Amino acid sequence: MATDITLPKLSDTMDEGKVLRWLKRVGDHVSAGEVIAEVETDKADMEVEAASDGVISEIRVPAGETAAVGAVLAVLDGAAKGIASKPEAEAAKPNAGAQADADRSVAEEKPERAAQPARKPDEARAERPGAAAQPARAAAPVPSPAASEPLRKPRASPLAQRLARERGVDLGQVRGSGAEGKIVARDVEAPSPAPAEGRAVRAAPEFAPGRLELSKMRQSIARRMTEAKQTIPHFYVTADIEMDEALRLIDAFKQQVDPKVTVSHLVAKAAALALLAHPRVNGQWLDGAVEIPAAINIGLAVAVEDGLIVPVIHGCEALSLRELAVEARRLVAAAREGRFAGDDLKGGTFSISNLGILDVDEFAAIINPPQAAILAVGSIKTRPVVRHGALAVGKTMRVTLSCDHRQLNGVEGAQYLETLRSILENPLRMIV
Amino acid sequence: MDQADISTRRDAEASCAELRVHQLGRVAYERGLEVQEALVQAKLEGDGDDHLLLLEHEPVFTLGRGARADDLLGAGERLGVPAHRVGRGGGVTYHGPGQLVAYPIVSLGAHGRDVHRYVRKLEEVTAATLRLYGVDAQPRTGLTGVWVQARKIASIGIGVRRWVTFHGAALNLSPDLDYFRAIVPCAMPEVTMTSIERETGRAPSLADAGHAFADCFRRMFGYPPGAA
Repeated sequence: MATDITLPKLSDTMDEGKVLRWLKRVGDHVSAGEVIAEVETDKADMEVEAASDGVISEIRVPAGETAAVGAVLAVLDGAAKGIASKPEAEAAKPNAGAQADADRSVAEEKPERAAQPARKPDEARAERPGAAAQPARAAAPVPSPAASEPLRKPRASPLAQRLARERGVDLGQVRGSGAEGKIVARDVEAPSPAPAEGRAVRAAPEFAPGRLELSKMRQSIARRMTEAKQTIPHFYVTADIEMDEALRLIDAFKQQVDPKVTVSHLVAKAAALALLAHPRVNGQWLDGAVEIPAAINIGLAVAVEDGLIVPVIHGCEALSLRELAVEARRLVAAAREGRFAGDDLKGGTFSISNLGILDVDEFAAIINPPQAAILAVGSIKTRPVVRHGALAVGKTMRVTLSCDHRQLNGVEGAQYLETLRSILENPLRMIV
Repeated sequence: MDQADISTRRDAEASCAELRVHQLGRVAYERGLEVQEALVQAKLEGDGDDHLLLLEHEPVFTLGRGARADDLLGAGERLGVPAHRVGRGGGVTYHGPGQLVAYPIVSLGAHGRDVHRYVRKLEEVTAATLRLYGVDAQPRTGLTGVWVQARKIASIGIGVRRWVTFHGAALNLSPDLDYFRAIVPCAMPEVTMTSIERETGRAPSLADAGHAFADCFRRMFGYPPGAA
């Protein structure tokens, strides 16, 4: 006769728990009261026991996974083959001995010299008889069950609590105006109307609690960005560029050229030409010296599902606008599909980050070390402009150049932008 | 003011068991585990008294059963500090001199057999103890532990065996907070750890803080007043 071992409800406010580890395997004989697994709920590690003697015939929820209260964790086959009962499983004291054996493993962990970061220590140390039936999987992020706890009293200052008691005010009906929704005395004295659903009564702001595991890519980005901001003295130069002419050029291209050239391609080509005129903006910081590379390799920041990558267009100085557009398209498609050829992600000497497709006036990007600068491109917007001393309406695009002050000073950054602007505002220069 | 707060929340069913409080001073981590194990066993075999162990440890990192070893960031080896994986909930944390560690070994049978409720009460006892020293310590919904605004001042992680509790709480009086910076404490990379000393410029002795904790614990859980 099979018995289900279910996740017990260990608290009125418990909805689910995470299986931390199995101390028994499928096929192991267990005695009533013997600990067979540990589950976690809200920082409490609870031991789950077998309710009766039997053999474990099935484990349904492996270590590292979460189950709802009442869900079947394992199945115990009660028609025990009757063999090999542990000697301690006597009727008189069924629990103490077997319990002690299983539980000794709980308290007496060997001191573990900190595991190398990539290993789960449980796997390495699990070779104790009957322990850790399932290899510990990388734990998926589990939102804390306590986050759904509705019984939590709203936080209130001691004075507010006293006033509430004196006046017979239910703190659950009072909206807190203090930090993080804390109820202070004046809230009890002159309460603002309680909102629907008690939303503001919660002490914590509304967000989804839980842990976001960072993908390898995001971890890598995190490291690089931190390094960049900590080691590179950034300064920023912004300029408005009138894009009316450039847009006309793109229109013209549309009719004749395939693949279509976009604003991004134009900006990249213009950036490359401007770098030819200002090679130090293409510089690379190497141990206290600046190296001016032979090629201009422009990285285009592309947002992908779990982060950001910067595929590189090599040799922009030698590419025609059309060739650059072809290569840029190939790289962006590869980025979206996550497949790259050899050098696609390497060797960038300058980078461009373009948020123009979103409604962005301007922004400043973080330099990719060891580069000297990065260009942040905003949206093209219709704005008032002054032409020949008169007010007009133009399509302008705001760009911000972030510069490494170890390599460049303000004048150099500004001069670069001046050249960039003049190229984009006279776009035929990009074709000849 | 805080005493009044606690007594209004006193457990309706006052505990009949005695609470025996043990001030152990500085104890090696493994020894702390042995003592807890012995007391848990005694309770499971019928001994009715509940116990509260109050102590501090030599520097040590501990990992809850479900904690990620990655969160140690190799600090154990780098700093020559031992690390133990133990049967409690929660992530990686540090224990060391200047931190009051409290291990209540109590039967939850007498306190409602509700794990979450026990954790909340332990949190409240911890917060109340810290408030006695002038710190605005509060629990935060969904973030077990005790906080001073966004800084964490005490951690909670318990184990339960057949409704007998072990492990417990760690209150930062004046520990070396650099050890926390070497790891990802409580699985929260952005958290800043703090202490009574960091918040107020002074810190109580281990013995004083232990007495205060025991007092708050007795009140919250409805034990008769004791000599401890």
